[in-house]
Amino acid sequence: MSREQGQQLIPGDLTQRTLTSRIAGLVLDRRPRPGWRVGFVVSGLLTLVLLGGLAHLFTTGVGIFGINIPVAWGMPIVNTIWWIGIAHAGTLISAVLLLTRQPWRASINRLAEAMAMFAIVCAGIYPLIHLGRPWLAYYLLPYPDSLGLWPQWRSPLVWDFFAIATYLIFTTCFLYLSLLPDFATLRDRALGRGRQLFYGVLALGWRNSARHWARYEKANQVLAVVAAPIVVSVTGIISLDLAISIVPGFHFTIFPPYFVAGALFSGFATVSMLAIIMRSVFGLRDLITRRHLDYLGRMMLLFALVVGYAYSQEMFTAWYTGDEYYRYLMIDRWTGPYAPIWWGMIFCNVVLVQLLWFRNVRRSPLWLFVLALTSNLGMWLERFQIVFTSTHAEFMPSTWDTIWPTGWDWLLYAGTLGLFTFLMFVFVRLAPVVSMHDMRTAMRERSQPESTDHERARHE
Amino acid sequence: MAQVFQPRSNAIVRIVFIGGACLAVAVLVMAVAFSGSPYVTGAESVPQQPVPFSHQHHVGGLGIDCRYCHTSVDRSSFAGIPDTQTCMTCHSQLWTNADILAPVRESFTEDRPLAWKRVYDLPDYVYFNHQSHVNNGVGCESCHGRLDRMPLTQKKSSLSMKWCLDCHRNPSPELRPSGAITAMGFEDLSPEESGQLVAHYGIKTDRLIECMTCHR
Repeated sequence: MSREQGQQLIPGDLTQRTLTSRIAGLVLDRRPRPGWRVGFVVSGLLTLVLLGGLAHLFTTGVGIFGINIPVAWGMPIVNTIWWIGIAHAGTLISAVLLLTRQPWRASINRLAEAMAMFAIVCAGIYPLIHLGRPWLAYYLLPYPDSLGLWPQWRSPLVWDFFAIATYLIFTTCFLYLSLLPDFATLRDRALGRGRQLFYGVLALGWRNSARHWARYEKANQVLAVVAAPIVVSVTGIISLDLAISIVPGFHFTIFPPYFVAGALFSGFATVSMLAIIMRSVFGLRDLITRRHLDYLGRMMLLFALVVGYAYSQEMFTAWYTGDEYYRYLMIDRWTGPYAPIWWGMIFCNVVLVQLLWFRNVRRSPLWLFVLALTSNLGMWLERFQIVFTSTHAEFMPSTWDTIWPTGWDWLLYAGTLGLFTFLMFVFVRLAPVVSMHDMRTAMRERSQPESTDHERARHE
Repeated sequence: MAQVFQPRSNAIVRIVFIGGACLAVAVLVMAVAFSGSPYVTGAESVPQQPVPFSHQHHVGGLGIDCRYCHTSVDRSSFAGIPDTQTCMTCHSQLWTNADILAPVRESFTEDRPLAWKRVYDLPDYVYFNHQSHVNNGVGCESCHGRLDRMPLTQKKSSLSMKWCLDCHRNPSPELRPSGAITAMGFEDLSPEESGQLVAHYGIKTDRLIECMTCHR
C-alpha cells in the first residue's frame, strides 16, 4: 500500500477531531437529515406491509404462497438463500479485510456488519413462516421437552435453524464489539442526560484505557479469525440443504463453494448499494470515496467470475455425467417455462457485470449502483432457478407442474426488503454509520506509514 | 462536566447481567418442570364417573380378571368399556337394591348406556393398539398402575410422548411372560430373563421408535 493510495482513501483535510465530530454529529444531531426521514418513513411503511402480510399468513396458512408439490419450497426459500448470501458476505468482508489489513476497510466495515445482522434477521423469518405450523417452530430448539425427542438432525430445517442462529449470535457479537469504543465516544459527546445514559450503558464502561484497547484488539482479531470458518460452514450448510438430495440441479458437490462465491458476490453488491446510499444521504463522499467504490467493484467482478465459472461447471457436469435427468434439467432451464429466469440470471451475473472491467464504471456511483442492483437481481434469479426449475420437473413426468409465486410472495418479499432498510435506517441514527475508531486508526497509519502493530496503541 | 455514572454503576450492571442470566435459567427450569407436572399432563387425575366403580374391590378383593370386563383388550386396538349387561351379570343377583348402583339398573331398564368418562385419552394423531401390547408381554400394570389398589380409577401416567418413548426405546424391563399380563404386583424379572422375552415375543426394538409406529 503506497502512501499515495492511502491519501486517496482518507480525506486529507480532516483531522481526527473533525472526523469524529462529523460522524458523531450524524447520530447526535437532533434533527435528522431529509433523506433519512424519507427513507425511514418509506421503509417503515413497507415494514407495516410485512406485518400485515404475516398476519394474513398466520391466520390463513401457507396456501397463500405459490408453493405446491412438486415445488414445495417456492419463493420463501429463494428469499432465505438470497438474504443469507447477503448476510454472510457482510461479516466475511469485514473480517477478511481486517485480517488482511486493508486500509479501505475502515469506512465500510460498519455498514457491512450492520448489513450482515439485518439481512440474517430477514433470512431467518422465511424458514419459520414457511412452516405449516409456525407456532411449533420451537421444536427446532434442543430444549428438555416432554416429547422425548431431540431435533431431527436429518432435517435440513434443523440445519438452517442452527446455521442461522449461530450466525445471528456471531454477527451480533462482532458488530457490538466494534461499536463499543464508538458508543463511548457518543456517550462523552452527548449533551442530554438520557442520551448519555443510553450510550453509556451500551458502552459497558469503556474508558479508552490501553488495557481496554489491548483486549479489544485481541477479541476483534479472534472474532475475525473465527468469522471465516463460520461463514463458510454456515453458507455451506445452507447449500447442503439442497445438495444432500438426489434431485438433479440440487445434487451437486460444487454447491458449497458455489454458494460462498454467490454470497460474496451479492454481499459486495449490497455493500456497494448501501455505501452509495449512505454517502449521499449523509454527505460522506469524502469518507467513502470513489476509490472505495472502485475496490468494491473489483471484488464484485472477482466473485461474479467465480459464480460464472460455477454456472459453466454445472453445464459441463450435466453433459459429462451422461445422466439423462440431469441433461434434461439443463435443457429445461434453457427452454422450459422458467427459461426467462435462467437467461435473466446469465444476463445479470455473467454479461452485464463485465462492465466492471472499466475503471470509470467502477468509480461512477450511478453505474456501480445500477450494476450492484442487477447483480442482486441476478443472484435472486439464480436462487429462483435453483429452487423452482430443479423441482418442477423431476423424475416422474406425471408430477410435473409449473408454479409461480403469488401476490403474497411478492408482498412479503417487498416487506422484508422494507424491514431490512428500516433496520438500517434506524441503526444509522443510533450508531455511527462509519466506524470512528477504525477511521482514526487509518488516519494515524497514514501519518506514520512505517509504524508497527505494537506501536499502534490507540491513545487519543 | 459531571460524571455520567457513579462508581456503583459497575456493580448495578453486573447485578443486572448476572441476575438476568440466573433469571433466564430459573424461568427455563420452572417452565420445564411445570410442563411436565401432573397439573398440566393430567397424570394422577381421578375423573368423576357416573358410578363410583372400585377396581380395588373388583380386582384386588374379588380377583376378577381384567379381560372379564375389558373383553377386546387382546383382540383389538381398543380395550373395551364393559356394557351395562356385563355389570348386571353379577348385579342382577348381588346388591340389587344398593343406592350406589341405581344408575346401573336405570341404564339397564331404559336400555341407555352408562356414560363412563375416559381416563386415558390419547391425542387423535397417535395410533395406539392394546392388542399389540398385551399380546407381546406388556402388562396392564405397566401403564395403568396398581388397579387392585385404586378405590376410584386414577390416571397413572402423563401420556406424554417422552413417556411412550421411554419404554419404546428400551422395552425389556416392562416385559413379562404371557401368563402374567393381567397380574398385579408382578415382580421384575432379571435382565437375562427380560432379554429372553424380547427374543421370545420377536420384538424388533429398532422399529419401535420410528415415527410411523405411532403416527400413521
